[in-house]
Amino acid sequence: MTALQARIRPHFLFNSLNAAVSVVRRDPVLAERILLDLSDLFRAVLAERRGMVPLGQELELAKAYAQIESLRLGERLRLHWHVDEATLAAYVPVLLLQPLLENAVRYGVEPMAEGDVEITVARAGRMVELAVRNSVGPAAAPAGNGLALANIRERLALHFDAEARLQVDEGGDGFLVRVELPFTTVRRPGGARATDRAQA
Amino acid sequence: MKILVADDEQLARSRIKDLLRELGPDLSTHLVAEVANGEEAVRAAMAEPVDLALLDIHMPKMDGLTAARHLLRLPRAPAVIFLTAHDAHAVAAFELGALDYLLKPVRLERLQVALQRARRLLPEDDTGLLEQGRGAAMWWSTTADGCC
Repeated sequence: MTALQARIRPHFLFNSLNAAVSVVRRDPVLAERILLDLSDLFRAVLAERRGMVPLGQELELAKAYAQIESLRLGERLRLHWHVDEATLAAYVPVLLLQPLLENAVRYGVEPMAEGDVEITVARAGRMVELAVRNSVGPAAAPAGNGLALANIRERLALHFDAEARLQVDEGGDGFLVRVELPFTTVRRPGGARATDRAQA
Repeated sequence: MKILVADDEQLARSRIKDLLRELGPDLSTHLVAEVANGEEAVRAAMAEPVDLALLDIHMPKMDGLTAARHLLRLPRAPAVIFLTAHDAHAVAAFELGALDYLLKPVRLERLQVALQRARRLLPEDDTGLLEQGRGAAMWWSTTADGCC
């Protein structure tokens, strides 16, 4: 449960359940979709010790999360996806992208009347680059933001050592988190064992 | 009983409206303002006094706790009930003078108890006045004869 709370905010869970409860009578199909998306998300969180998944799968999960947030926040949340199909087979640590997206929504959109979140996934030679930018810098971001980033950094190091890195750019017109990791289409057994140790 | 609802999520406001509609006939509740942040809540209550403010806590521009502080200082201060997904702010809420603190998703029965509590605070005269003015204040759709 501690691992679960570190990944997904209880606030998000209860607001999402509230959204599902809100629409269940007048739009049961929508309520069903919210609950199924939530279910996918929590299954992934609970299965995290499996370690690595294809990026395509991680993107599906991030999109399930994004769908729930879009329903909750309506037009306040403007999402922009730029995904290079050539990256989808690359193996990445599970729940790499979703927490970055959650941070962007939490600090860049929720406290504001509206906001933009841009997700870019591209291949650059033997590397995969993931970037999540939100339009407003989280100047007043509580410590949770840093914890999520530290957690991702730690898991990247466990799987890829110094080959992967996470950079934060707070300057300019927004808050940008950029992750670079090697393009690999095989699950790294060493990485998975390392993740198991980290969970113990 | 005139009620103001403040929540930045449209679906959450719909949920509260649905519940109020269900409880309306028994408790003579009338939603007179629906807003998306604390600032609008204070402005709405200043423009038209309400008996009860149902406030979310995390909202843009002005959060619910700050809005409550302003609302409770108004000459005709409403009762304040928080409706939130966070359980972490309950102590702060009661220290401010909140009447109740409900966790989302809220059950009909739990909201009913909170509304009954708010209704008991109303002076008899006030309730009577509101009863008379009810037709005009009631803007949500109920039965053709006004239902309550």
